[in-house]
Amino acid sequence: MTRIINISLAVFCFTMSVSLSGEAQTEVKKQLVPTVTIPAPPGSKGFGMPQPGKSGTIPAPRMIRVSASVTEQRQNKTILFDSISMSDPYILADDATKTYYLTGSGGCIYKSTDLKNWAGPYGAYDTRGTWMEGINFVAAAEIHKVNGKYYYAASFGDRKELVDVVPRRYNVYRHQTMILESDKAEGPFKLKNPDPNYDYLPHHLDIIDGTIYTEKGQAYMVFVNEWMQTFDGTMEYVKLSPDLSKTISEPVMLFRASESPCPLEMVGNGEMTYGLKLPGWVTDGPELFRTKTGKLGMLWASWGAKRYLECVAYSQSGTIDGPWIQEEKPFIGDNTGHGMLFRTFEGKLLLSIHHAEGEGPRKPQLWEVDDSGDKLVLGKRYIQ
Amino acid sequence: MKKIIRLSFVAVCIVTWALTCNPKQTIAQNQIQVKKQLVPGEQAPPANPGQRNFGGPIPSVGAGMNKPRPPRPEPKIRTVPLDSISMSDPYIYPDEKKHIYYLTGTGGRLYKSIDLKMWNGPYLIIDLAGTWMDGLFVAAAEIHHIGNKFYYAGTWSDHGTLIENVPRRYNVPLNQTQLLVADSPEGPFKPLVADHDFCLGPEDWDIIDGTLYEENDTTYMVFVHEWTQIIDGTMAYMPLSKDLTHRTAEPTTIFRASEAAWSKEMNTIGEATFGLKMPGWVTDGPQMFRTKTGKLGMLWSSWGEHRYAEGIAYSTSGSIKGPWVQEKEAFKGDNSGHGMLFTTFEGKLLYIVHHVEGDGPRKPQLYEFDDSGDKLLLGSRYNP
Repeated sequence: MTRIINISLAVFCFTMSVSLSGEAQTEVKKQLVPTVTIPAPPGSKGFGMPQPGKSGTIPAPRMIRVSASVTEQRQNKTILFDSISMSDPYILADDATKTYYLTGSGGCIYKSTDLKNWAGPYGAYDTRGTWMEGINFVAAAEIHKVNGKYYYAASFGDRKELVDVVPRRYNVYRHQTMILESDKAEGPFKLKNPDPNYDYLPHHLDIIDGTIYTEKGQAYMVFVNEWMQTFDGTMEYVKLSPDLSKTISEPVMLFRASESPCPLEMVGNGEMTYGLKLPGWVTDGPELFRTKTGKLGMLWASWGAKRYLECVAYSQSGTIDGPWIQEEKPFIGDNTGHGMLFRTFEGKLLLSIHHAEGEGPRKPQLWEVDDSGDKLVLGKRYIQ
Repeated sequence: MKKIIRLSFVAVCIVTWALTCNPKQTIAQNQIQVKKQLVPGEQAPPANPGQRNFGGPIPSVGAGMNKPRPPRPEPKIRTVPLDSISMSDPYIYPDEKKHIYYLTGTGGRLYKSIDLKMWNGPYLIIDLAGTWMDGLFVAAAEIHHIGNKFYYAGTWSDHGTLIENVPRRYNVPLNQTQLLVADSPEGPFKPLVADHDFCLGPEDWDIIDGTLYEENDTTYMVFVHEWTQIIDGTMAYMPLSKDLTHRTAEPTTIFRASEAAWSKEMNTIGEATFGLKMPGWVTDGPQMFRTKTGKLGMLWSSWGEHRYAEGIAYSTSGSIKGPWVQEKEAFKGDNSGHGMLFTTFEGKLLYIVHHVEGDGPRKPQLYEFDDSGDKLLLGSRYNP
């Protein structure tokens, strides 16, 4: 009898002390208090907003945003490619429907059969009943076809939930790249994971621009952990389950923004971010590709000498694990970036990428790209 | 039977308390856990051959490891002029009672002088037997007189204990500013807390250059959270218990290095660190002061246009809580820094700072300072 009491007591006491660290973590979450932020120096260029906002505040979106949810009412029309304003444009050439699907930041879908005339915008997803319901803006949407299913990867930010505080720098709100599934390229895309509150990556991380890449039958999400949280932005991957509904590995870091000579430090380069002085280096918009000679490369974007730019890295091993060697020069560097590759139904490899002229809106452009050698070579502007 | 149960109950509680709640044991357990999980990882890219390299010699090809310093032969006690002493981070404690100036700093040895001109030393004045610091190198030692005791604040580095792997950046060793105590400024200083594993700050923080500051009957440790771990280094404080044996609250961040315009990004100014191209902003060597008009300020150091530099921040509230406003320019920017103020027995305010001429060693220099107005003013070089 005494022995039983002894043991249970010991177990109890031990459990108490072991659980202390867990409790401490819960407490920290409860105690998150927004930090003071530092206003940008006068005269800074305004990434993320055309006009400087009041210092220390989160700026209002540029326009009243209608979300890309299929529940929204919207007017569809057919417009020319040149008249579309969009950041982070992504085009899927869908063999099944012989249709091009254009999406990007904002998340709505446009359809075209000739890359010139585009019908849209159409709603893309149905997130009712999940944590994403009611979010009216998604960033860097992409549509991938994997094993006969269509997957919509987009970054959802929930401004209501503070997940991390970087003292005297940045209040991190919940931000995750989520993968939604559909049988059709046009959607509607829905969360496959049974947990309506699911995060693909640790809840407290600021994750954007996740893309889908498959190597030897294994699907990966390659994503950005934002420099606002990490100072020196990172490119990382996680392995996904066969149906892409969940993450099945820990994140693996591939490189940091500062490892490439192309990105410049933001404050030193005179760039403000949301009106704030946020020093650091940006990683954005990964896109993996293989050249015709079998070399594995990655396009990714950052900020440098002429503002937004596109970097290239190559994997020495030819696998996602790298090591990743950064090219010395930008792929494009004149306030153009976040480019994504696709092949036309005629077999031509094109890059869809946004460019901003002055403070003007970001507009998608198409460029020809040559992948016949060991390195991707930028061709001429492609005019439809 | 009942009595036996009760007795054993008490005994079990005591035993389990001793096993699980004893701080020493708990810390040891935590450390074992931490050690198990932490593996050194790839660090920031190696410095270019011949690149300027803080904290180490000019790197050769393939460099990139932060090695602990080899033990040095025991120096002979001599009496020498100030300009023949090589020392980083010099600090002078003027002892009014004995009418002796005590000089210490990185390396932690003690020199004595009655006229600031001729110095007798170096004396070994610390006894760290039975602690994790025993035999390790000490940086930025200071001597403070609080109550009827003398306290020695120094930073010890244990390169054999990893506290964090910051991926693709830095394997962070255990670094803590700790307090030793003695009845005399000449020591021998012994650990204030005898516990072998004791750390004054959070164990997973890379803490250096802690100094002591009193405000409204509370003694604070003001310290640096190293940029090597957090990229944009911070200045922080934690209140200490009356007997200075432990912190009574978790640290508060006062400012970041990048908030001062004079503090430059290390890779941008071409400054490698321990042989690595580690990007970021440095905070170093805080010292609090009050001007004759009652303004509260802080001297601190970083790297700027001309290598090492020192600047000032002022607290607009007059309290340690700030807000802290940075002076635009460094007051000293010629590869000098980590300077500390003291008052001579004649009442003159002086500043001792290390300076590097070319690739030469760091040597202490004395300057006059004027604290009669709202702002501290650097005067001319002082030659005792």
